Amino acid sequence: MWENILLGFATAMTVENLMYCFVGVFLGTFIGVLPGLGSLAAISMLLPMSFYLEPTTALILLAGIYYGGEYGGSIASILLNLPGTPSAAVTCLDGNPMAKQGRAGVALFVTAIASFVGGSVGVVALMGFGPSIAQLGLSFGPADYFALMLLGLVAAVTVGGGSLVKGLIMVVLGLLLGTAGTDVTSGEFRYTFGFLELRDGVSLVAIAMGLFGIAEVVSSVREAGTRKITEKVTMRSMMPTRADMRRTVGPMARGSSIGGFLGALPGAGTVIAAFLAYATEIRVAKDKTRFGKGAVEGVAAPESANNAAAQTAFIPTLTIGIPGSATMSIMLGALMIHGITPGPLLVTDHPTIFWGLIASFWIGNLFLLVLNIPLIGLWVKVLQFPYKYIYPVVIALICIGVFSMRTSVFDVGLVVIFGGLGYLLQRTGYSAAPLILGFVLGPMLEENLRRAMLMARGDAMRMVSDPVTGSILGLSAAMLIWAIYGGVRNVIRSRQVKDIPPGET
Amino acid sequence: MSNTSNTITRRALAAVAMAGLATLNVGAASAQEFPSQPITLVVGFPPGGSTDVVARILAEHMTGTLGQPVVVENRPGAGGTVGIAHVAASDPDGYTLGVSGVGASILVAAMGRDTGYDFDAELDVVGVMGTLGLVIAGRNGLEATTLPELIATAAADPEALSYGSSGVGTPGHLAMEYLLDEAGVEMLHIPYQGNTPLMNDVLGGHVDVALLTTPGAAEQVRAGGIVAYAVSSPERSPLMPEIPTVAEGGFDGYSATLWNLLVTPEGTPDDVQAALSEALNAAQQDATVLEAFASAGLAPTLTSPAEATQFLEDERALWSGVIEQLGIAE
Repeated sequence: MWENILLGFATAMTVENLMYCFVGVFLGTFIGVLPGLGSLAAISMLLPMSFYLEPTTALILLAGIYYGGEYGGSIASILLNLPGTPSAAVTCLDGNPMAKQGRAGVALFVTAIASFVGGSVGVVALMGFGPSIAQLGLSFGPADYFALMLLGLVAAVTVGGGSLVKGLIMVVLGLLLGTAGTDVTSGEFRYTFGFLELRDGVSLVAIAMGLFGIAEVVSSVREAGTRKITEKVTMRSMMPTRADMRRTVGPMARGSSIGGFLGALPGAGTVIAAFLAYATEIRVAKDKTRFGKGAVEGVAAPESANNAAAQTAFIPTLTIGIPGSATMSIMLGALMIHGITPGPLLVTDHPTIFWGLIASFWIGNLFLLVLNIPLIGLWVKVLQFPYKYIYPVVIALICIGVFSMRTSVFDVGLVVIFGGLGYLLQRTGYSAAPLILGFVLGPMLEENLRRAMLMARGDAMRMVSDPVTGSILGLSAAMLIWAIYGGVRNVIRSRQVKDIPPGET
Repeated sequence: MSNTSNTITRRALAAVAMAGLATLNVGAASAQEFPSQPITLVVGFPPGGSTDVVARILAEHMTGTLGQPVVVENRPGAGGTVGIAHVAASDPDGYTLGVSGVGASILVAAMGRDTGYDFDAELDVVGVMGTLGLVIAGRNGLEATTLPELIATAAADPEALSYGSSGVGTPGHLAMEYLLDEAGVEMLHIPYQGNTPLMNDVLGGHVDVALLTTPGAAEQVRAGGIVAYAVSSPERSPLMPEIPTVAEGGFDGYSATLWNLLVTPEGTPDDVQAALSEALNAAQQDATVLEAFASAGLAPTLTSPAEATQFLEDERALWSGVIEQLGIAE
């Protein structure tokens, strides 16, 4: 074990590998900051480079872009309410209100720390328990996935703060959008309206960038001329207060564990990790009303979760050869170009690749921390830039980013449509975040439920009686009852408050 | 610069056509002029997938032969048909090529679904980019150790076994239904979205049997995570030579292989097609490429454009026959 870790650091610490690691995280952060341009696009573009690099070096570079992108995605979320990546949409919820209160520096600082903590937890999980976590992941069958997705949906309703009914409406809208595409069980097209581009469903990036990015730009246009933030950034204003730090410890621990676990499940991914971590914080918080208004926990939890998930996503990819996401497939593609077929024997057959890569993750996370703390001042200056220059650039970047995902002009059109919808939602007080989660979870929920029912040959009781599936379903039921109970109690309380004569509250 | 020479090529060709002269000289001359600008190779699957990797390995070598960069462009979607639809709608000048698999070339259309193009009318086949067999594998703990035993289990109880494929109407689904039909037995079909979740579920023991692509399956078999029963190709796979073919397992004449075709839009000049075909075949004879092919379980396949077109015809007859026999088209 220790020998392996030493071997890993020896591999990762060569001048060449250190350099590519740095280039990777730097490029990743930069691309993550740009709205719409995800790490997937950057990694696809750089994949041909792996022909000319050692496989380990190629992976170090590509992986650096990936987790660097996860970090960078949060920067634009906080500063401009423009999520760089879909998982950073959660960071908008509290990160941007913090920026509006002049605490952008603090939010970015907390993000850097939370990302580092999450990333480190992920690396430790990868080093210490990689293969056993992978085995645990394999034991999760379709019924268990269904139960887990259901739990995610129940949690989603509580995200976005405010009205439970509005949250529910948005989740359902997301679920409905998720039904478009090819039905997995029969192969039939559903809700494609004759557009062949919709056969694989609506693009997640198009929805996320439309609802958040374009909508934000459109609603800001109304005040672009007048709004001016001339915030003076001092080192002091960047540093979180002691109270801030105390508040982030719990969220970081919970966020890292949730993210670390979900990241290791193929298909679950960073988006769900960030949402669940956020929802958990709302659940455990004493004062739920602070969320959505600049609560530092609402930044720390999802940021540690998505960075932990970004690292543990490598567990099934490297230890059993099952890539959990499109990005992970590219990583394996980089190995296949070199004639290395990923599988369970990769760790023993190519120890330098596995351990070298893991060691580089931790070095990369350290680079990110060192790179980004000094840059916070620079990022915050973006806020002082007149919006009339920022927004056209943002729109162009979103279009380029969405186009690059599938080389599809159709998707760019979708962004415009969802931008309009997003603006409408914003004006009417609906949060788009639960919609995104519903959209991500819906197709997986349906696919796994139908697969589970197919395997059980139509016997639903088999699902409930399974210990793992049953207990996760039970947890969802408990959360739902808790939420309803809390809702009813709030209604009663607010009625009581209204009874109090004016002037006494 | 590149535009000028392009126009000259077209004019030269037009002149040849009008004069009704199919002289070798002119053909050779314009073949030397092609390519004068970078070539786009459209892959209908996302980067990093097995089709993408094959395309990149070949594109890398063809770049050297043709003297112009052959750039892979991923236009993923709908079983590869989105990418091929784009190629079909491009100019037939040899600068937009496509990698067309079994699904985009035959199956999607044969299943009665809209692809957005008419393959024969809108595309020319330049060559075959290697062939690959599927592995019929089972989860650990199944009693059957050979294909006949597996079939016997299914024959004894039609509800005993389930099998997973990477989707409805994919080669794996059809190859298995074809086999089950020949054997006269039943298994429950569980469709997945691609090879990855399918691999996950057979490793985890959630589905009994799965049709998997060779290199990934060979690695899992080597590690003891799954059991291989047979390969669907007519010859044994060099990656797992100890595993018999389905034909050897008692189903004489059974053959189901995956392949990719190099296609261009219909009407691409013959000399351009010849230049591309030459470059493709040269790549499939290169030592480095062959090594990469071997580790990917691919058999190199050298064909002229005419032979490749015939190859497609034969394969179409086979797969359409299976679809018809099974009665699963819409």
